[in-house]
Amino acid sequence: MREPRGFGAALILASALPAAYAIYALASDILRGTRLFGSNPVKEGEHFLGEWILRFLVATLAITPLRQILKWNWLARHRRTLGLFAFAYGVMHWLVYILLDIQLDVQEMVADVTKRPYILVGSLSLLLMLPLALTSTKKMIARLGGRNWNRLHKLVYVSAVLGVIHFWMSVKADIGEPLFFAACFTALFAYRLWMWKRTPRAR
Amino acid sequence: MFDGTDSPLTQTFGLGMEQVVTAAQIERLEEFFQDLNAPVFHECSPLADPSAVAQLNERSYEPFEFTSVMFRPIVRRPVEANQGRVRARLAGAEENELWAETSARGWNESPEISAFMLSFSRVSAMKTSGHSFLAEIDGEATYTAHAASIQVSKSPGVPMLIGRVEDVKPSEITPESLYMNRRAWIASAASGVALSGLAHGVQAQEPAAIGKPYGLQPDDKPTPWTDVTTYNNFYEFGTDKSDPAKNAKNFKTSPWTITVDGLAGKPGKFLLEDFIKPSTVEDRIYRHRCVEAWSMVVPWRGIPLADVIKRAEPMASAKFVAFTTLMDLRQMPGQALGVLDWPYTEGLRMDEALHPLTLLATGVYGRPMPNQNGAPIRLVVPWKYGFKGIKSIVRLTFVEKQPKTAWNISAPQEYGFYSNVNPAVDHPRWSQAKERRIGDFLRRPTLPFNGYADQVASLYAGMDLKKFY
Repeated sequence: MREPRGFGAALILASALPAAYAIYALASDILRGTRLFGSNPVKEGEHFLGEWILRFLVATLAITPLRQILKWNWLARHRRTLGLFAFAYGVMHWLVYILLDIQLDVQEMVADVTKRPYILVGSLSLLLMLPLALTSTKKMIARLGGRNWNRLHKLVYVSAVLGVIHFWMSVKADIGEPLFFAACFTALFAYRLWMWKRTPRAR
Repeated sequence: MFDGTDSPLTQTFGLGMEQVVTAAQIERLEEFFQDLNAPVFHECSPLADPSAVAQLNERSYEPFEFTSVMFRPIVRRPVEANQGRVRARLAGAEENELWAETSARGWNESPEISAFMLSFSRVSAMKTSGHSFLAEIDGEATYTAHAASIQVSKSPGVPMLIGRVEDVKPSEITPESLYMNRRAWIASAASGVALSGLAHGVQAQEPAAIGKPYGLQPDDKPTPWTDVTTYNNFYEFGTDKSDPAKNAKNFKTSPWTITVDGLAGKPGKFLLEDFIKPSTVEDRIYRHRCVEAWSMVVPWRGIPLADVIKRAEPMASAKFVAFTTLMDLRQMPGQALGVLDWPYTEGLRMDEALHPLTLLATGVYGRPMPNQNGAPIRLVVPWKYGFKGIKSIVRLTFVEKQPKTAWNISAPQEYGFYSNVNPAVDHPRWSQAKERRIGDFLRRPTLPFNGYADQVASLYAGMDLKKFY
């Protein structure tokens, strides 16, 4: 299949929809007392955005397998869109945590990062995405050179693993959803390992 | 009726049911509510005198709520519908009295209004503006309905169907056939049909909080009914906060048996009613603090646990009370998941259990306990984190050694046996210094023992609360 017309624009629009909804629902729930995000909108909004980070990471990492299996090479140029959205959702998740959840309580912020491993793991996961986002432009790829750029962007695997660990550690007892994401990433990693083993390499 | 400015019960009832409505009467009603700073709402039945709606339209009232609106296109006009043992038909004029009596029987559970309902139903039966229907089960009139048309605001006429089901034992009729039958009637009425008013409109969505406040802070307001009944941790019905309200709908809480055993002089197995009966049921408004750092203020209804314990005559060797939730995989889908070690268990030290604040709750907001809140009977210990309040209790056991408790088994480093609310002892994964009151944006400081330190701190004198968290 060839790239449908307007696919890029449609993808951006669709990717922005959950964020738009989250902002609207949070504002409405907090300011007008609606219950779009239920009785505890800040927590629900925080979790909602957090899960979208992982969904976008799965989508980003699914591009290469899909491209190869379906032979839709045009998919490759949309990987950046998905990756950047993963980062954007990460930033929003973090902003909700800092501004709405702990409400800039510096003491608590410090305690959270130093005493609570899951916050540290989550912060690391997001921080690792920062250099990837910064080097996502064509200019930066050219400056770094393809080889280095590729090597740097392997960090996305670390970020994804840390993201799932963060989610896993944050739930009280029901690990169903973290397990789902862990399974997705495992499958995506397994595919890559399998392809890597199959590819003959020069010695 | 005035029930507070925010109460949905604050409104008029039965406008135009007994007489022609005049502008002066509506003005008097408006003055009554305005003097109390309350909004003016009228509940208007399609059976009311046409002058009621005419007056409301004249004064620019807008409809804001229809009770149980159901739509169905007109296909035909059946005057009879038969389904198994049920037969539905138009009631003849000579059957007015039968129609009225059947309709009034539907209010049997409230004997104090039965005379009123009968006279009310007689008036309805005589209305010529619509059609009266009767449904019979095995030839006995059981259900009545009246189809009429009401014109609100500038809308075209909205036909309405008002019905009332008499209490029917499940053994007598399957709900499906009753439901199907109801639909058959609606088909006969018109294209847009509202099944309304009398049967459903009486129970308010947001009931008023009743009860004696215990340990409330000056800015503590009861958490709205909607939040209390839709934001629940009850993992037996799912781990999402909104799951219990959805999944516990058909949870069967009657008959309910409670077993009292262990080191007791008077152990036994009791029907819930007999278990409650000897005690005085009280309404009490308590603060509620969840271990997840959110909180509510809940108007509970229940009996002191101490009552029950004293009746069981625990032996001197009984140092703790252990509680167990119902184990029922068929009804509690969450128990199929290995999230916790089912059935849910909890425990209290004897002095905690005997404390006058400790409640066995059977209701909230003056109503029977909603299933999602732990029906039919649950524990409430206001100075402890919410998860100590074990739900849907089937067993109380008097024991000598500290019993195992569900969350402690699951994560002992995170959830201790005592789990007293304590802002100074953090949960390993989050601070307990502050809490978010449901409905508030800014967080508030968490109080030692959730604000009940004066009453309960002495129970823990000399104990290291960091160690016994």
